[in-house]
Amino acid sequence: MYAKLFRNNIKKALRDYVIYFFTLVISSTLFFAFLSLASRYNDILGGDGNYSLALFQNTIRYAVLAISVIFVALVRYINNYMLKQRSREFSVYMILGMEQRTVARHFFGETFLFGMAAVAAGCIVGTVLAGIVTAFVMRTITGDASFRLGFYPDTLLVTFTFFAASFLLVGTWNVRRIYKIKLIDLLNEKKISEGRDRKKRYYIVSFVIAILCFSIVGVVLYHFTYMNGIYAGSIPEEISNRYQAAAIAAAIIGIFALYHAAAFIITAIRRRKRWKNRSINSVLIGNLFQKVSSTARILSISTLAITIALVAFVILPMLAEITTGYLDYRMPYDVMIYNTYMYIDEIDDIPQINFSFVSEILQGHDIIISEDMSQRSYFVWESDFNTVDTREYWSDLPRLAMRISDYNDMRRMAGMEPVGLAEDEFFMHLDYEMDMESVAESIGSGNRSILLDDGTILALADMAICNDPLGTYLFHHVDSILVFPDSVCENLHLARTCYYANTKTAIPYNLCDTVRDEIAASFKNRYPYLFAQYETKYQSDRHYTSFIDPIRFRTQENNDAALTATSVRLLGIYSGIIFFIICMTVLALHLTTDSIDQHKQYRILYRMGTDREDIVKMVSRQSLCYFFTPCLVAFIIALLLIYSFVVRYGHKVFTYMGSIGFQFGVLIPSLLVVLILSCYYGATIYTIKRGIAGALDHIT
Amino acid sequence: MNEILKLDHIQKFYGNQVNITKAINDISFSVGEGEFVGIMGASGSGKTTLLNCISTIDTVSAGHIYLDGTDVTEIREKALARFRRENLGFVFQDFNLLDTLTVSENIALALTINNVPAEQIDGKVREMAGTLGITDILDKYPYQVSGGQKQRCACARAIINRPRLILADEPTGALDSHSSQMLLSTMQSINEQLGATILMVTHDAFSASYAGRILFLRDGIIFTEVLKGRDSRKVFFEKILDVLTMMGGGQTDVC
Ligand SMILES: Nc1ncnc2c1ncn2[C@@H]1O[C@H](COP(=O)(O)OP(=O)(O)OP(=O)(O)O)[C@@H](O)[C@H]1O
Ligand SMILES: [Mg+2]
Repeated sequence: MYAKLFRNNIKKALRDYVIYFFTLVISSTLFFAFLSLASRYNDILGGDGNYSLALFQNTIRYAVLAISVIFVALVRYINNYMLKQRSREFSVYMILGMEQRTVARHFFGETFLFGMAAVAAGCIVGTVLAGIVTAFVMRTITGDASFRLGFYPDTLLVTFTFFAASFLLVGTWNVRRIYKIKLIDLLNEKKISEGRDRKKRYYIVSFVIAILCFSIVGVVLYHFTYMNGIYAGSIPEEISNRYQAAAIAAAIIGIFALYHAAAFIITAIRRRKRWKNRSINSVLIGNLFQKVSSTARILSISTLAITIALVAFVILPMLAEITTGYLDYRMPYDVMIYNTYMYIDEIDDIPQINFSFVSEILQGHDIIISEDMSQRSYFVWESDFNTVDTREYWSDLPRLAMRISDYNDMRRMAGMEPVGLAEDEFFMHLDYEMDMESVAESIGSGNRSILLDDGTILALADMAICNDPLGTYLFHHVDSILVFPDSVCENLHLARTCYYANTKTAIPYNLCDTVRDEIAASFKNRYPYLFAQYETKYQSDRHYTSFIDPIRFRTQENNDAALTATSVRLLGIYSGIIFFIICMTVLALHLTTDSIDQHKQYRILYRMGTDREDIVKMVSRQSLCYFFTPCLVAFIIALLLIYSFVVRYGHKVFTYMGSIGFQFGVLIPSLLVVLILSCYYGATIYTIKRGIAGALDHIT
Repeated sequence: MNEILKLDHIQKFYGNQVNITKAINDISFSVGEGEFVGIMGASGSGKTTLLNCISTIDTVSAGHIYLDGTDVTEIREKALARFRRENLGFVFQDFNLLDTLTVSENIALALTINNVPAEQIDGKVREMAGTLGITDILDKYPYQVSGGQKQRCACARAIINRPRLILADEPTGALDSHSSQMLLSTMQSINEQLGATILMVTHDAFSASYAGRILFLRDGIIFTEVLKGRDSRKVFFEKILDVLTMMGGGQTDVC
């Protein structure tokens, strides 16, 4: 019965909401393509045993879903907009006697079908993009990047379910809204002007706030740079976080205030007589800031969204690169086995471990060890030994000491030059992540020698601190270890024995877990008394780990780190595009609606003798302002943010930016931004132009 | 004569406590079945508001409206929709035609919503268009036709279902005297032959003279009421003019 009406509406919707349709297609394309990486049917899962994607797939799956929740907001915004556009139509239906419920159901059905059509198109395009993204991931792992089309039924199902659920959610909400709305309000909806314009004072205050906020940003960044000088390039995390948070918060408030203030200033300029009479310019500015507060709101939110997009594009991958860049530091050896006395109650139960069984196990898997060593750590004072009962908190462990010979062996195996140490001296080996300058400063003012239990006095060597990366677990929950002459260590009590080895060939990824289990089992067989005495006792403890833990392999760590970096990069691109297109859609819809509202004005201008081209030019200029202002402001803010990270991480940022970073940090984001921006701008101008042509051709 | 519409002390306020507009300030009257009632009054006197309340588009702030004996201020939405569909025709001051549909589709919409079988729709639309003189614009879109043509299209949509109650908000506002006479005589014939009840808002004494009774509104109340009775239209027209002159707001020249 309503078939024709229904068909007409869908057709009209397709024409009028081309931009929304386009956005939905892109969104679902991306959603499908990225999620296909987590598909059971994806080829990359097959692998050749040298890498594993389980962690990567989980990260991608949940992150993509989490980021995509923002779609619900978009769908809601668009449906609101559609409802508003069509409120008069609906009111006519209702006045002619259609039940409110039927109208609501119609609206729901139409938007749902419309959305699902877009998702279906998105899945088709998504299949192609999935092939590209898969090839990209394969290239990071294996270096081979062949493109293959796949079929991912599970991803298809998730995509449809996800979008259908979003449409349903928003649809239900809309149906309830239409139910409750009064007919008269529906009839007048388009006449109700949004954005209330506030008092002059309000705008002056926002102007002051804007200036204040940007001054704060300036001062904070200046200070931050200054701090950088003090800390010689490595400002403590906490201070960095505080400075950056302050700058970001001030910038955000500043943007909101700035747009309000700017709108006010321009309106004020417009009131000046000289401007008013300069023909079309006055109309342009009048239109731009007709609704000061709603315009300001739209612009601030878009700026924020674009900033988030740029951050996701550039800063996320950069941070990922910087943090995983310490891989060499975390994994200087192919095999690393650590030992802990955390859950041993008697100091004499601490085992003297002979790690020779490890090489046998590896040999059993055809892995030849090229060099290996055991490294012992000692209690500086025997009284340092504490048990679960005597610790203040679970990781309250003492600083240990190690032999200079072990230390130099470790350096040699990690490819570093050995260091020398006199018989009555010691020095400190500091965690690479710690800020060396500040530690040096605190030592400098304190006592520079150490008195041991047996009366030996060791003086701090000239070099005092060394922080070459030799692995994080060496420190055993403290941030440093002391290095003593071998002879001194003879008289100290053993705390732990660790083992490092390099192998001739890499250990295949899939073998790592097997080898780890075998090593753990073999250790248990060799030192059964430990397990008999303490395992049952402490097993239920939240932090309980076995006596040799962790057992780490370079293959595995490398794999996981590389894939983490890849996933962050991919997710950065994903969320960047999503935020950007959402923002573009909102701007485009805002502009096209405004333009429809202004058709009457165009008609008047046209009748008064303005050229058609001038009108189009005016509208294009107006749209340009809308699209580029937030982009420009967001770009500046992103630059400031990047600057703050450059201050924070110093040279590391540039090293990263110089290598792989350029491609992902600059090239791809810029290309995407330009592409998306021009698409949306073009589509908007096209829609508006067509609208104007229609309005001018049907002068009544 | 059956009472089809009864207004019982209705009031309609806009705005909040601080800034209140009394669009309707206590109006009571009743309309019998088959009556043709004109409503006149200065701009802003509450005419459109009154029609909106009667048609259940808007809700009253106080009072009751009885349509055919049922209190529409308390009736459920579903029953209201049914009432509107089956008994009510509404002509808007600003037409409210849908731009996406052609003139004929706009008219047909009322039939579609009323579940008229598809094969009958075309014939009915043509017949109505013929009566109102808009046959040659049936395939045009509202933005392609003149104001008067749009108004006739809106009228056609309102009366095509032969509703028992027609509410018309200045249906002749944009029409020349010929078209407006055609429209008014159509309304009159629906009124006389089908027994439809008509409430028509108008600013124009000539149009008003087609009615049987005129209510004069001022500042949200009924200022006065004039009955045609056995008078000829000419006499009634003079009477209306007199009242308008007395109210100080009407036209003084006659066409
Ligand atoms: N939505 C509204 N909000 C606030 N006030 C309103 C609203 N609609 C109407 N009014 C006010 O109510 C009063 C009556 O308005 P109404 O539209 O009924 O006048 P009218 O008699 O139809 O005028 P006209 O002859 O110009 O159509 C006017 O003073 C108007 O300003
Ligand atoms: Mg009115």
